[in-house]
Amino acid sequence: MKLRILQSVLVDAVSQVTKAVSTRTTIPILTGIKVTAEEDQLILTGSNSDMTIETKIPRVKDEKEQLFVEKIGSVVVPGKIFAEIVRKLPGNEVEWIVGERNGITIRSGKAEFQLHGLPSEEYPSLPQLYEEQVFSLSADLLRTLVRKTSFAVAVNEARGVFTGVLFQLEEGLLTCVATDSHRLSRQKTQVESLPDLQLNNVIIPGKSMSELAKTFADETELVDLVVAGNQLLARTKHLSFYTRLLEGSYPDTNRVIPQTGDVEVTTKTKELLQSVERASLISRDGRDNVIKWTVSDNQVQITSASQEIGSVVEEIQADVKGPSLTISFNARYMIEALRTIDSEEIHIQFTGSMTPFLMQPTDRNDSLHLIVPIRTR
Amino acid sequence: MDLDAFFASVEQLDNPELRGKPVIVGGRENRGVVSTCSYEARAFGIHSAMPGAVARRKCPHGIFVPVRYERYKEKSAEVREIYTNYSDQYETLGLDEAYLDVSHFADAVPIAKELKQRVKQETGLTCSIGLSYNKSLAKIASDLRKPDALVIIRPEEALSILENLPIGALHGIGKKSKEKLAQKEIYTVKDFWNLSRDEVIQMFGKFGYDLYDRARGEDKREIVMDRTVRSISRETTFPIDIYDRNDVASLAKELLEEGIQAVEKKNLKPRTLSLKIRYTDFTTHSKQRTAYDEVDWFVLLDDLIDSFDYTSGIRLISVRFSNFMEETDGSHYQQLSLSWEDENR
Repeated sequence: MKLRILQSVLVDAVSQVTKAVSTRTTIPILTGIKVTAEEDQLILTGSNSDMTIETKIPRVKDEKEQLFVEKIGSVVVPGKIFAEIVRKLPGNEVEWIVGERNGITIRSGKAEFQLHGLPSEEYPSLPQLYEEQVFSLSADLLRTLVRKTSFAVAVNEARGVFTGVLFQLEEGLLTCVATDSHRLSRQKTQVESLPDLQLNNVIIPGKSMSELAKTFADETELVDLVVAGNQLLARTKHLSFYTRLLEGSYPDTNRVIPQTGDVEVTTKTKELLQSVERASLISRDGRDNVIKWTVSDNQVQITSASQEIGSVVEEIQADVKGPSLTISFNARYMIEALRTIDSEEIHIQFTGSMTPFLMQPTDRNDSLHLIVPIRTR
Repeated sequence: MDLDAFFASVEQLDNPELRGKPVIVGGRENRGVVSTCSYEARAFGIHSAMPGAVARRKCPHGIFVPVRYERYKEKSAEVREIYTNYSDQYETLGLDEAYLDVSHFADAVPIAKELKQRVKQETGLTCSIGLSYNKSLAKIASDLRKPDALVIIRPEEALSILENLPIGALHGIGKKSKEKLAQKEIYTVKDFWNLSRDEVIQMFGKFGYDLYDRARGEDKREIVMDRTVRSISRETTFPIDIYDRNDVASLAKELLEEGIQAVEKKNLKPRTLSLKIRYTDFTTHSKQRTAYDEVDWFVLLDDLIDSFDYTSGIRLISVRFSNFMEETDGSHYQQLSLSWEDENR
């Protein structure tokens, strides 16, 4: 293998795949980055067996030559040190030669590194996915979905499925659900797919969701999502992101979402968020970050008290329908949900002090948040 | 009361072939430290916290045994069973020490004798008891003639006993403090009396207040029942120095997992996570992050790991939980959950 490449291009590609490179040494070869030089592209792969990122550097980008492959070939480079070396190289261009017994030479400016590589045949091959179940959405929409759901996954949950985000697809409508059993977030969006494609119980680990958003952070094109076996592949022309899916069956979340409300509150999202954040200054030290709402005619009174610190009372104007109600809940759940809502107004539906309540933006019906209250004694 | 060479004594008790021999608990790994050692081993100059390698050099034929914490806990509980018969006001310090309030007895001396005898008979262990009119003096008395001793410090003797003690006999004066005091040519409690309260406070901060009093046989501290857990930590000394951030990260994660288990077992909710790193030159840095409400400790740990420097070798790391939330907060409130009934059937 012999090639020349722009240093900045190599740095970007290496930093992309490094996100997936294993830091543990249980499978030593996975601490490396697999590199394959083909005639008009260079492919870099990083993996930790749960997650794999592959990026392709084309010969030409934006009509600019960035890669020149003189001799094709492949090798596995030691991941961490290679990433550091590449970042610190002095020249704009990097010359990269792989000789006998996977000896690697890297030249840039007047610096020359000799590294020991490993044979690429020892690197596990990428899962071969049977590309039947495919749908597409814009990278921007994908990032929005991640942002609006993944915060609600369980952090440390005995029931494994709740540490992931559920993807369901029916008639081109993608539904994403995340819950830790104390709150739930559900987003729906139209995607491009074959009309008869149906997906159930596809559960993506919460950690992979955030990495997915980061990996496609700068992308603008459509992202294809392929589901096959226990893998999900997210892919653009030059970038592929594989993640293992969680096993187990996600419960039916429709059953826990109340259909009607006895008490309905409509108010401004931003004002509400700020007010709850203020109340949380008092409550956040407590075990459950408890704030109390008293809903009555045209207003919501928000209170919070801590034995150590003191208390807070604030009233916000709201459009209230139905009888008065008092309810306590974790302020953080509401703050995190409200921060993902871009709409100006929000509609909240209560069915009682001990039952979950629903929050939805008033101007759209593709987004829903559920919060389970706290029982006070 | 203080159980003599506790861990080592339990080992000798359980393994008769170890009796009368230098037994060293811990320090088996080259870089581990000695946890406790038998009096036979102390004769070779071995003491707790000494690196295993040093101990091996000083006592090549010493018998190094692994720490069996669970077993020591059992024996410690047996001892507690006995002393709780004499007082329900007690404060434990680790597994091998406890303060007992015996002020309800007109004469506590026969009680102390009986206690020593029963501990010996019922558990096979010896202990040293210090009997006095406050915690500080009781502690000093228990250390005075170990092992298997009963030392009484009466109010009228306190000053004359304190006078001749090396300054290190005061609880809270460690190696560093001793060095500090040595610079001022203070080696005994009597020397220490020459310092004014302000000088002591200047040297030791807030703790100086107490130290000044304790050196004069005064201590107003009460017995703290069921000492609440203030922190839970897990640490490890590496067999070889580590230079790699990722190696530190993976080991720190293992410690964190153990810590989380311990915290959950005790049903505690910590707010603060600290990471301590000791470099090869023994300089030690500790950093902490405090989180409100629920948090992913692993993310927090990663953040802490990133904040350290990895240019010099690392020999020890420790992960610590502290700043526990008030238990009472939880008792008033109960977070309800969504019910996934059909799943549980």
